[in-house]
Amino acid sequence: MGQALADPDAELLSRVAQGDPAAVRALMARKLPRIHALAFRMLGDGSEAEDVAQEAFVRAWRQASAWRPGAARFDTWLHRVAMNLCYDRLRRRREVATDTPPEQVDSGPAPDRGLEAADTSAAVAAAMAALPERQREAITLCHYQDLGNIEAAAVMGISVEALESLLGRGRRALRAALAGQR
Amino acid sequence: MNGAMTLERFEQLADAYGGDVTRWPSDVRDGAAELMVLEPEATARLLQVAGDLDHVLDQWRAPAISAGLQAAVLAAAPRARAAWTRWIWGTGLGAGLVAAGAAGLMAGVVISGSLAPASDLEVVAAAASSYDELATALAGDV
Repeated sequence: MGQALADPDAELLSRVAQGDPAAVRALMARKLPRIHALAFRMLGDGSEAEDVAQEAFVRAWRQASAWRPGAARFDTWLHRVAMNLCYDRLRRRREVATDTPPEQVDSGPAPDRGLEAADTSAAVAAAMAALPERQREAITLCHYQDLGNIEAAAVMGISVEALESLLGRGRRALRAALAGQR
Repeated sequence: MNGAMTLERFEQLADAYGGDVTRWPSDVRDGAAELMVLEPEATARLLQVAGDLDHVLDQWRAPAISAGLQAAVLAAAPRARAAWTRWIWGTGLGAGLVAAGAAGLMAGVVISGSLAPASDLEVVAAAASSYDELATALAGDV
């Protein structure tokens, strides 16, 4: 992979910059569900995820005319923007919650709770929310967003080895927390 | 890297990237495939454990995006300029017109400067630090 980055979004972006309505719709259809899903998995809240996705796109539209192909993939950049917006919100939550205990302190591996959870989806959401943020970010990028390890590491600003370590620890914690889920 | 992959390394990769080897980093897939031939049972067991977790994780779906979000995103998107505007700017005439307008404006300011208080336009022209900024200020929202 030593060649210049071929950005699959480059052509679409240049048309977006010219205000081509079809390109705008195409880019939105291609990226909005992914960015919304990313924010949802980091924040665990659909409404906040919509706010983040909207803000990320406001920045993307602004960036379209200034986009320089070759520096970084647009998809990587957009993931980074959305992730930063998620971290802003997570930080604000922590500040607000300093006097009150966080509402979703999951006890980690709690076999009883895991087995009782009728809804696997809710159990996964709780287990993901209980992970340290960087582990959650790594799993969100690699498992849910299906980014390659190099791309995910670039989004997180870490080495591939560090990413792998975060993934391994995160997934082991999830396996323990979700034992009994099918 | 063509060195033989160990079972320990295979387990680390399954732990990190899950039970589907096609989703593993491309530079380790060949080594993994080789080990799967040499150690079919042990590797299958590790992939099964990782795959079970993948399956559980996949049941957490993101909700569909709302029509309101789509509308808000579209509303913020860049808009195309009218064809005649694009043509004028493309030929450079737009910049010329703005320059001429600015020159006329400044001349007016000089001529009438001692006679009348500054108008809004003069304030805008004085505050603009470049032709582009001035063009935007004079043309309004493009």
